[in-house]
Amino acid sequence: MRRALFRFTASAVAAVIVLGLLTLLVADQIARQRALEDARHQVSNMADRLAAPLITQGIRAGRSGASDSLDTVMANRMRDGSVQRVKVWDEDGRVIWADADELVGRVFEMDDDVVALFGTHDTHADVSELERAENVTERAQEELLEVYAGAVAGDGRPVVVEAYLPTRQMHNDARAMVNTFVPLVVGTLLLFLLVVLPLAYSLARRVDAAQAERTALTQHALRAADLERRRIAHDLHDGVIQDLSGVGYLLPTLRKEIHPEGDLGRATALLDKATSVVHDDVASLRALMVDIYPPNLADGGLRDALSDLVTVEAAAAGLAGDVVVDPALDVPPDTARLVYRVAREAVRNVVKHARATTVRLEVHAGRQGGRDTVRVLVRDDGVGPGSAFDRPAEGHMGIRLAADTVADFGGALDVRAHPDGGTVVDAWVPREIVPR
Amino acid sequence: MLLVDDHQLMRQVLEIVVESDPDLSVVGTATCAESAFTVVDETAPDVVLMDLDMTGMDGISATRALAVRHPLVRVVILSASCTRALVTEALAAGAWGYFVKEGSPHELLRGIHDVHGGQRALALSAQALVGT
Repeated sequence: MRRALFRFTASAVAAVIVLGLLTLLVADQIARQRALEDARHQVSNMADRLAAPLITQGIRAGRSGASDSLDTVMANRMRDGSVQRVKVWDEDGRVIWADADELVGRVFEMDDDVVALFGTHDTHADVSELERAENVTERAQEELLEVYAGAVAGDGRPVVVEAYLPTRQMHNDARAMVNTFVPLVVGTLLLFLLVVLPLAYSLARRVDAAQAERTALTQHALRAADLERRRIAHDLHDGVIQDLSGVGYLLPTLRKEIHPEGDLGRATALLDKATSVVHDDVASLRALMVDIYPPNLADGGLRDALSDLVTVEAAAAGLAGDVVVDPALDVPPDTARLVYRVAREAVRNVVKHARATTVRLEVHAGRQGGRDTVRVLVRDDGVGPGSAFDRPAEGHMGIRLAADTVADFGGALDVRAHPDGGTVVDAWVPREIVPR
Repeated sequence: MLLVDDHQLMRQVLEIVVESDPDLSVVGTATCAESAFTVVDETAPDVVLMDLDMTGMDGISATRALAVRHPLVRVVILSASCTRALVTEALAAGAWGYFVKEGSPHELLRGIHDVHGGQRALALSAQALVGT
C-alpha cells in the first residue's frame, strides 16, 4: 500500500511542478504578445502623428536646420524613456532622420518585411537581437522591442519609422501574470491533492484488503484441492491398487491349475475370488468418482446426494444413519456443492473419529443477517469433540478446511459437544454464494 | 512363513500364492508390525513377508526391530513402491529381499526360496536400482 500511495503522491507532485512550469511559459508568452501589441500601437501613433508629418524635403536633402522642429518634438517624446531610439527610413534604405546624428545619411540593407511597410500604415514588431549593422547605437542595451511603422511623410512620400522600446514593461507584465496565475494553479492542484489523498489512502487500503482476501481464498482453495488429491491417492493406494495387486498375484496362481490334472475346484474358487475383487473395485472406483463430483448433484438433487452420502458412509462404518432435508430447500448449484462438501467432511469426521453408533444429518433453509441461508447440522453420539478439532495434523484437516471455505463464502462452521453426548457440527452458508 | 499386511485381500492372496508352493507353508498372518512381533515369538517362522506401507509402524522399522529381536528370522519386504531410497533403507534395516506388488508370484516365490537358502533376493526393478 505504501508503494501505491508513494507513486500516487509522486505523480501528483510531478503534475503540480509541470503545470507550474507550463503556467510560467504561457504567462511569459502572453506578456510578450501584449507588450509587442502595445509597442506597435505606440510607434504607429508616434509615426503618424509626430514623426512623419515633420519629414520635409529639406530633411531628406540634409539641409542644416531643416530638422530642428522634428528634433524638438522627438526629444520631448523620448524624454520619459518609453522610447529609446528612433530612425526614419526612406525607400532606398537611407536613414533620413535619427535621434543619433551619426546614423543620418547612412544606407543599410533592409529586411523584406520592412520594405513591405513602405506606402502602408502597417507595423512590424519583435524583440530585437540588436545584431544588424544599423544597431550600432543600441548594442549597449541587452534587449529591446523593435517596431517598424509605415507612414506618409509631410512631403507626401512614404517613410518607415523605426523605434526601440525597453522590455522592462514586458517583463513587469509577465511577472505580474505569473504572480497571479501560478499560485492559483498550484494552489488549486495542492488543494485537490489534499482532498484526493485521503481517498487514495482509503482506496489503497481497500485494494490491499481485497488482495489479501483473494490470497487467502486461493490458499484455502489450494489446501482443499491438495487435501482432496491426497485423500483420493490414499483411497486408491489402500483400496483399488492393493486389490488389483492381489488379483495380479491370484491369476498366475489360478493358471497353474488350468491343465487336465489341475484342481478344478481350487481354480473355480480363485476365479470367483478374482471376479469378486474386480466387481468390488469397479464399485469402489464408481464411488470415488461419485465422491469427486456427485452426478445427482449435477441434476440438482442435493437431497438424493446427501441421502446417498450418509447411507454409504454409515453402512461402511456400521453406523445407523439418518438424513433430514428441508422439503422447501431449493439452492443454486454452487451452494449445493458447498453444502454437500460441508456435509461430507462432517459425516466423514464422525466415521473416522467419533466412535459413534449413530449419525444424523439435517439440512434446513434459514435466515441470518437479513439473508437467506442454508444450515447444515451433523450430530453423532460418539466421544465428543474434545480438543481434536484443534489438532488438524491428527486427521481433522478436512473439517478445518471446510470451516475455512464456509467462512470464505461469508458463512460459519462450529464444532461443539452436544449436551446429551456426542458432537454437533453446525454450519450455515448464504443461499447465494459467489462461485470461485 | 509369516505374512504381514494390513490389507485383508492381500493377506488372503499371499497365503494362496505361498501355499501353492509345496515347499512353503504359512504359519501365521498379522495385520500390523506390533502383532507380527507376537506371532513371530509364538511361531518362529523362517521367513517373514512384510508389507512396507502399513498403518502404525511401517515395514522398514518393523524389519529393524525384528532383526534385533530375532536375528535368525529373514525378512522379505513386499511393497507397492520401489525407489532407490526405499530399497537401500530396507536392506540397511536388515531385510534379505525386496519385491513389488506389481511383480509376478513366480518371482516372489523364487525370491522367498533364495532368502530361505541364505541368499539376498531382489525384484528385477529393485536390482536395477541398487544392483544385485
